[in-house]
Amino acid sequence: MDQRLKTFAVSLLERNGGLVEWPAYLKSGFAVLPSGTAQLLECPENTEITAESVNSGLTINLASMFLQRTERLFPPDASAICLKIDALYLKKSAMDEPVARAFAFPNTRVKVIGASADRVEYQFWHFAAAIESDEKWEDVISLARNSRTGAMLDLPDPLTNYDAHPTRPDETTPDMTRVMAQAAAAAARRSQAFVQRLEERMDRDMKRLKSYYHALVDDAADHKIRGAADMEKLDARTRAVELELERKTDELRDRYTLRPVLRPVALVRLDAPALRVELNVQRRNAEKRIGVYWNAVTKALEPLACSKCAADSFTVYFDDQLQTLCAQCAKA
Amino acid sequence: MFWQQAFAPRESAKKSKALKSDGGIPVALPESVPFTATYASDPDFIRLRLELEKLKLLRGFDELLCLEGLRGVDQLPHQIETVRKVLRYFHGRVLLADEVGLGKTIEAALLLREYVLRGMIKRILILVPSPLTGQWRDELSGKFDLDFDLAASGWNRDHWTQRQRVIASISLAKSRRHFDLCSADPWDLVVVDEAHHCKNRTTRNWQLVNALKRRHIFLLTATPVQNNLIELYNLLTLLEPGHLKTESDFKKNFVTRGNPRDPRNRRVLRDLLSQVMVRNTRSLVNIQLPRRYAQTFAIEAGAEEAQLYRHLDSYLRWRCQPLHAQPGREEDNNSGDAEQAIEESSVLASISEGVVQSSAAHERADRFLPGAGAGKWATLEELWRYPPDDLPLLNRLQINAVLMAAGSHPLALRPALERLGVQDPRVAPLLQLARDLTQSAKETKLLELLKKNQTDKTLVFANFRATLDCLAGLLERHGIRFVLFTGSQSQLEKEMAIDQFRHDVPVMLCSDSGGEGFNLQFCNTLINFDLPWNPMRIEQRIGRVHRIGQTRDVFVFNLCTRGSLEEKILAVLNDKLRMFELVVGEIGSILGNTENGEDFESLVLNLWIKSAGPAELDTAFDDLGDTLVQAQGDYLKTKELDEALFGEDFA
Repeated sequence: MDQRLKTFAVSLLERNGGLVEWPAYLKSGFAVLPSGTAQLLECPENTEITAESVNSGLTINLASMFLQRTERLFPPDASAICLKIDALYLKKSAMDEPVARAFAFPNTRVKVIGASADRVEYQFWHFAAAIESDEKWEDVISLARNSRTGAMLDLPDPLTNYDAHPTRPDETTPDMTRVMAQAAAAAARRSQAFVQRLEERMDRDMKRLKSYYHALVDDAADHKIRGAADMEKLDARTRAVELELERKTDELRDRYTLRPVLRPVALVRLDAPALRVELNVQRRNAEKRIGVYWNAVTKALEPLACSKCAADSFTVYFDDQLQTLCAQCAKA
Repeated sequence: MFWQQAFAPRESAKKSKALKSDGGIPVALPESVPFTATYASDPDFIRLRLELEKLKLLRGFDELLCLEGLRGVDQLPHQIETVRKVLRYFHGRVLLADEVGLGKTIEAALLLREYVLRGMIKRILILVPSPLTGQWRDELSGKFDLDFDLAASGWNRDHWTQRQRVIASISLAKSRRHFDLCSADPWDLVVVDEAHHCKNRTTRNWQLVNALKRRHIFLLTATPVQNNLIELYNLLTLLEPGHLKTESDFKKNFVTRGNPRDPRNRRVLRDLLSQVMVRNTRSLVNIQLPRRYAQTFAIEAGAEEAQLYRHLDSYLRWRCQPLHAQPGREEDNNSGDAEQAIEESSVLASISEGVVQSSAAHERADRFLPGAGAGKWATLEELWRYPPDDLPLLNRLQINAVLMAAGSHPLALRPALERLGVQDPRVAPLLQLARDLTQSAKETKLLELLKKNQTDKTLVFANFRATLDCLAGLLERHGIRFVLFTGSQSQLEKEMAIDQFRHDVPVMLCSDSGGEGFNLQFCNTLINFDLPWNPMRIEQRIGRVHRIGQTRDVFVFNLCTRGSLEEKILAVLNDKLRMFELVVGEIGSILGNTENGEDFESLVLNLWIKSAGPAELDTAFDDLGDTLVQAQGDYLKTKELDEALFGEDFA
């Protein structure tokens, strides 16, 4: 961990104009930083950098404020880059059999029309996901998708694994609705155990509160009632306890309230060659052409995305308007 | 499903309904932020950005952020362990019940800082007994870099709503005017110091804390049980209502019939308590400080010095006559809140600018002052038989400043008298005498002590810069090597001074604001040349050398002038409370036990203002001593009970 953090720190400081001398075998080194960078990191321009906790200089460990402060060296919005792969091998043989092998279309008649070379933008999204509640859950959600079909794919990291080069930014804003839905679905899966644990705790605390306040009412009712005055007292006490219970349960709900955060932090837009396979889809009286893609990197056909829940699937249903559906949405 | 609904487009109809998780937890809708990106041309930039996000995930509660950037805090292992435990297992709701002197305040401040740095809390309320408000604010600001507002009696709804970090005395917060204001809006964290003041459910203290809406709460007390186990029950009900079920259930299950102090079903009770309480004990964390010994020297002032103090006393009493003539006015003056301080400082400023002048006073002074000389005191005493007519009253700050300076050194008194002289020329003879006096009787004793203790390092404390300068001259003249250390020096100068003190010179002259955060355990002798009126500040002075790492017994010498206010304060603190022999922190608990009590400094000033003369003042100090001895007795009984009850089971 120390080494990983150290590598990150040195790269970041150098990238921001610093001169860093920190040999791998030493616990501390030295950096000369531009004044702006030093200011943002709240350290002197000529500073010792060290993994040990010190009160002067720049402490670089997980228990320091270094990571928080480095956020200031990045723009507040997402960081993006456009990459391009000029050429990749595309399959030339007929696609009927591969399509039939990869896909199942249980409620529709589908026929392969043909295939042609195409270019597709693959988007690699990285989201910071968090839930703040009585505890905090955090994760980084990464997903790769075909921007045309919306299908999510399992693709290698484009920053290291392709022969891609940076290209002029395409600053058109991607369609975020589906992306957010897909990221939210992934965050839901990852945070499931955390949410379940909180639900159990809230349930336990709520039961404890209710049983406590109900017992208070019962205690009050146990006293002997002599006449109307006592009765009134008891009523007043019961009302007071009920109000208190209401207040405390509100407080408890507020304490456990889930505050989800899903923030895009990085986007890589990769323009790559792909083979578009044209399909003719026919259901009842409706007929439509759709494309599926043969991915030149994975050398396999890509799934299609459900138009309702954005889940990707090779078993594809169609509704009467010939919108794609996954098995679950089709059943629903 | 709540994730998808929370991040579906805003116009989605589902969002209009209250969103909940499958298990029924409410979900707060996130703010809708349109996607924007900054495009880079270098893949490394994106790699670094992603690495930053991934590294942040590796930081659990094992990695505490709160420890970086602390100033002058000894980070003890048990404190850090407590912070980790509270974060991980107690979810920010805990009774911190460490024995006195083990640093409950530090634990609470570390926790608070950790939550703040992680962005988990914003609105914080700290409730403390009145005498400790200033200390909390100073420590949080000076050591933990957390600035807090002190709640004042004049605060309105807006103050309570808009201030994010507030320290309030519990007596102010529970007052009729403020109870509803401070409990109206939710707090992310409420800290209650000396929480045993909330032991009784029928009191407004308990009701206030119960009424505060909060997500996290820390209750701090070394003595959760003072009289009976129901007090513990009441405290824990504030933390987690129902954790110990109802009071009757608790009595039935855990209290021995006929003896409300004796618990039964100890094992079950211990298990329940360990879910909400942490208690470190001295023997468990293995912290034993060496003993400390104190000796006070009340020195007879020379004739001129004694005359100066006597006439100063008469003059001040003459100038503040209406303060004790009008009880209502005095009450106003007791509040000690920020507004009053502002008002008073503006009065001081106007005086120093010479705005407030009294022509009648000047006229009368002209008549009397030419006769100044051998018979000047008789003349002035005659003058003071007249009421101070058109002179403005001296306010508390002015009186305090003059009396404190007088307790330090005649040279420290000069500037205070000069300020008064702008307004009232009759101060001139007093000022002249203060100017003529270049030496205090205490100096001789100081020299004697320093010469006796030439082998060990000695730290000499003084409140006023003028006193320190005078002492510097004195030591120079007598060939005693020393170094000066004050709060106004730069960090480098301070480090150099400490280094010199450690290696070269036997004496360090130090102001109250100096020395904090530096390790001075190589020194074990301390001389209080003058004395702060606040015992907590005396404790802080001693704490510079009597702290973890000190291996030798510590010797404290207090110098005061016979008959002075300082002598009376020392008589209460040393002779009656044996303060200098108490365990670190105990004096705070004893003062904190006088829950509705004022700040000790105000208390001393009040005694002076209320008394008509020295005899009455002596009686008042005797009474104060008795009250504190009573508080100390209560504290010791409680401490014994808690030790017997909790043992070492809750660390």
